[in-house]
Amino acid sequence: MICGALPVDEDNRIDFFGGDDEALFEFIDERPDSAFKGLIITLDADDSKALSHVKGRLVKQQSYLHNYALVVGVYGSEYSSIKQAEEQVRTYLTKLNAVAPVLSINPNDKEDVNLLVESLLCFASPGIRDNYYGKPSFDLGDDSK
Amino acid sequence: MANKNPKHEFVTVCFQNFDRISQKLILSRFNKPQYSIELMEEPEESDLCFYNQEKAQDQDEIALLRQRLKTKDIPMILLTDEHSYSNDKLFYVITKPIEDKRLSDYLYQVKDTFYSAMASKLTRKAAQKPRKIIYNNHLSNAINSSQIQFEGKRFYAQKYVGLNPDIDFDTEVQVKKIQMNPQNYFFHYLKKGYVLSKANNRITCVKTVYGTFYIDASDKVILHHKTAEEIFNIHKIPFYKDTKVFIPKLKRRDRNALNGLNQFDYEPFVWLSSINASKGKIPKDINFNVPIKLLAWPDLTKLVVFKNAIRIIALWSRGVYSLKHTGNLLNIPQRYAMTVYTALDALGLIEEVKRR
Repeated sequence: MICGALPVDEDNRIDFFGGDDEALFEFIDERPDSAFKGLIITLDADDSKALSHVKGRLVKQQSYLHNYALVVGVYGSEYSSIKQAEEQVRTYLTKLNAVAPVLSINPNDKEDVNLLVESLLCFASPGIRDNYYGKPSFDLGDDSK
Repeated sequence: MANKNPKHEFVTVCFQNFDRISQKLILSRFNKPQYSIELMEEPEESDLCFYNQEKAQDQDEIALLRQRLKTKDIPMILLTDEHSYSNDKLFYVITKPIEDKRLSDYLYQVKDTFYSAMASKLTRKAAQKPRKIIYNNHLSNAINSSQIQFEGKRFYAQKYVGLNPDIDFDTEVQVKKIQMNPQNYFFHYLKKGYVLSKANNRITCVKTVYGTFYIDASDKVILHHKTAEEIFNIHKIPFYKDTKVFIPKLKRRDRNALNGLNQFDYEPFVWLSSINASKGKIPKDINFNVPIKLLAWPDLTKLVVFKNAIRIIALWSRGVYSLKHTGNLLNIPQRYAMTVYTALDALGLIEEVKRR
C-alpha cells in the first residue's frame, strides 16, 4: 500500500499510500488516529473511462471530501483535453458542494508535483493563528494584529 | 578568486514613520542583486529597522523602539535632523540633508550603512541559529507556516502585492487608500468580455487603447496580435475607461485572421492582469466585511504563485471567512489577501456568501 516517502525537513516526512480500489480506503479507515492529511487523485485526460471513474469515486467517497483535503492532478497528451477534464472535475466537485484544488500537471515535472502536494498540505492546514483556530470570521471581533 | 555566485540572502526590513515616497526612494537604492528584500509591518519581525524622525518629540518613541530592538539584536538606522544621538553597535544615526544638492550623498550613506549593518546582522544570525535541515522548502513551509519568511523563490512577493501597509477597515480614509476603480484597468474588461462570451456562446471583442483582444469562453482563450512580452506592461496602467466590450460580427475572412493571432490561456492571463492592477488593492465595489466562498481553485500550475497565495486560497475554500479578517487569521499583511481576492474575483472563482 505504501508507495513512497518524501523527507521534507528534519522534523517532517510525507508518506504516500496508493491504490485504486476500496482497499485503500479500508486502509485509511483502519488508521483513524494517524496524521493522515488527504487524498491525491490523478486523472489521465486521454483515458475516456477515467473521468467517469473519478466522478464515481468522488460520489462514493463523498464523506472523505468533507473530512480530509483533496487535490486532483489532471495530465494527458493534449492540453485542450486536460483543460476540459479539469473543468469537468470542477463541476463534479461543485455538485457535491466541495471545493478542492484541481491542477493540470505534468507528472514528470517536479515543480508541478510539488505544487500539487503543497496545495494539499495548505488545504489540510493553511496555518491559521493558534488563537483563531475553529472560529469563523464573525467571532474574531476587531482584534488588531 | 572572487566567488562569481555569491549566496542569495532573503532579508526583512521595517520602515517606521516614513511616507511612501521617501520609503520608495530609499528602497530604490538597495540594488545589490544578492539581496531580496521583503517589508515587514512589525519592527521585531524584521532583520533591520529604519526610523524616520520628523519631530523632536519622537525621541521617546525612538528610545522605546531602540530598547525593544536591542533585546532582539535587531539593528536600527535612524534618519534624523537632530545631533544629540550617537552610534552604537546596533544603532546607526544618519543626518538628513538640509540642502537638496546633498541628497545624493545622503542616499549613498543610507545605502552603505544598510548593507554594512545588514551584513553584520546576517553574520550574527548565522552564528546564533542552528540551521534547520530542509529538503523541500515549499513543502516545509506549507507544514510550518511560521517559517514562511525563509521561502526562496516566492519571497520577493512585493513585486506582485505592492507595499501597502495594513489599514483599519473601520476608518473610511484608510479604506479609500486600498481601493481602486476597476473600470480603469484591463482585467475588468477581460472579465466582462468572458461573461458576455460565455452567456452568448460567441467570441467577444475587447477594444482598448492598446489594441483589440478577442475572448473565447468556450475554449478559455484570449486572442491578440502581440506577444505576451510585448503587452507585459499594459495590465498595470489605469487607462481603460473608454474600453468597449461587444460581440463582433465576424465574417469568414475575420475568422481566418483570428486563427493567425497569438493565443493566451484565459486563466493565467487574467490572473496576471489582475494582480498587476491590484498590487494590494481591491476594487471599490468589494464588500470586505461579508463572508466569502471560493467556488473553485484556479489552476495553480499555470499561474504566477506568489508567497502566501496558496494559504489564502486554502483558507477561503475551508469556511466562512471575510476578506477583512484574512490577514489577521493567517498572520500576514492584508495586501496579500487583497491581491488574491482581486484575481479570484476577476476569474469569477469567488463570491459573497448570501445570508439566509
